Amino acid sequence: MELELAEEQQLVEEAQQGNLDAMRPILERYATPLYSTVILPRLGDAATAEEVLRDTLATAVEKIRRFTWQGKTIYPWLRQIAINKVFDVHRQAKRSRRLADAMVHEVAVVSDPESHADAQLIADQERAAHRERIAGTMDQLGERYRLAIELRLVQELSREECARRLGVTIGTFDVLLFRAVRAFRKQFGEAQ
Amino acid sequence: MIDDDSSVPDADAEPTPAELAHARRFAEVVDKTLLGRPPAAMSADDRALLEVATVIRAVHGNAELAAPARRSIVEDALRQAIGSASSSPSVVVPIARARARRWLPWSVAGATSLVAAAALAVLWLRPPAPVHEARLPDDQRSRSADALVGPIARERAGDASARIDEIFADRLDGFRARRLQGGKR
Amino acid sequence: MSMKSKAVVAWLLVALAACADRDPPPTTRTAEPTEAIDQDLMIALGQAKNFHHKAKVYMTDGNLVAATASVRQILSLAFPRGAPEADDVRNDARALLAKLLVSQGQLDEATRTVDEGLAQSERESFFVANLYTVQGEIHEARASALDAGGEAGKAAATDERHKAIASFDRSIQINERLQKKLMEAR
Repeated sequence: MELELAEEQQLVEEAQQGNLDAMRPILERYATPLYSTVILPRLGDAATAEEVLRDTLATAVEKIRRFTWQGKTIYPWLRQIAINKVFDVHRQAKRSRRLADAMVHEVAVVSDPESHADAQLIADQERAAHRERIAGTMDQLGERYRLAIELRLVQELSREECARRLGVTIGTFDVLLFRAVRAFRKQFGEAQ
Repeated sequence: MIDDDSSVPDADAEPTPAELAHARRFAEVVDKTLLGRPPAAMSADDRALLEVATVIRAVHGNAELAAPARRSIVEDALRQAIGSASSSPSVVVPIARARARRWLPWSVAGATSLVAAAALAVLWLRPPAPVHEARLPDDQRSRSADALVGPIARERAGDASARIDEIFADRLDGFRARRLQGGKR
Repeated sequence: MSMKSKAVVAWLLVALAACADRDPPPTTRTAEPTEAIDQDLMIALGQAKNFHHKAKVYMTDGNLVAATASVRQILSLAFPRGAPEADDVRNDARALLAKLLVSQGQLDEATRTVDEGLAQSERESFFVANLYTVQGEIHEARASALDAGGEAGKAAATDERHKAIASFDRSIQINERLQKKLMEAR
């Protein structure tokens, strides 16, 4: 952890005493896990996710006086603000997309709330829970669809390389990926 | 429009020309997104599928927040929360009042004795203190963003949002450095 | 020395000391450079950033009209007088605005947006070069539209393609000149 608990507590106390600038290292530290494990997987859109992150951090600074230090990292508090903001986005946009809706559901964070679980651990657990859901859905797809998603979206190989590995033309691979993502979307919705 | 409930054809099924065209378009959307340049506008169908792709990528750690974007978001959030209330204006004494204050003791001294008048003359005739033209470091100066941004490739012609983030973050560094050195706000 | 004389001397010393004290230290006489990055510049850049982000979210939702309106607001932001960033930010906003207009089929408005930017630019920059790139794209879009019209538009389409090439060439030339300048400055 770049930011030790004692240092985090000191920064929070400084912010609560009026030096809101003291929040900067905390925000810098937790912006990435909030974005990549809490917000983006629940929204699926990078631009909106960045807006929600900005809003989350601003709310945290504005409401820092209401935060009560309980001997553990501030990250769960920030995470809860982020989740509330994500819900707001879904409500406002009246989104009915299955995948986004499914991912909005709370992921049970298994760490003991009384422990000094650090933010990284919580973020790792959350990412693992998301991955498990994704893997569960991938397992239900046909082999070629699963491979198309795995090669292109997880390993991020070029279209040419993906097509070569699957022994098809680029045009055929494009169709495979298109169908694979559609199948994933449908399956994921049904799996919830 | 994609029908969520329609069955997805088998992997080996022959695509229709429409599906082929849609697949190619989606492949290009994914291509651009993977390069960090998602297209500015796209159909609702493509957007819905891209969201799925983005979630898969995000969960596998492939859609991280770039460091400049993170810094810029943090700064924005702080600015939004703190507002302008924290920025107390620097105390500037009006020139006329400052001059009057400077002259007042001399007037008193001059009126009380000749010695004071002579001292006044000596002080007055002394060459003025040199005005230092501050040599402003480049990074604290308002300047063209050319050196920062560099030539803009055609495929990034519409990426103004990413560029303004870069310009803002860079100028914020200069602005902060200047404030730390006691420069005016 | 009488008490009265002592009082006068003491008074004079105090007066002299006061004068010496009031002599401004050199730092207070340091000229404030007019080109310093100041709060007004940061506010204007921050506002431009917010409008771009708003536009980005609108674009993601497919609301191109709202995105266009948001980018347009950047053009009327007040920057500090003479700030070179103002030209750059406005030209970049114009480039995006023109592309948004093209995607809505408003080619004439897109052309106007680019032409105004080029006319108002006070110096060459990568952002001006980018405007020429977008100008080329507008000509290409016109050519495609003319192609769709059949044989009648063929000659005009060819003409538009030539104009597009000229715009792209112009953009390349500016980029080359500026890159050379930047290299020399290092």
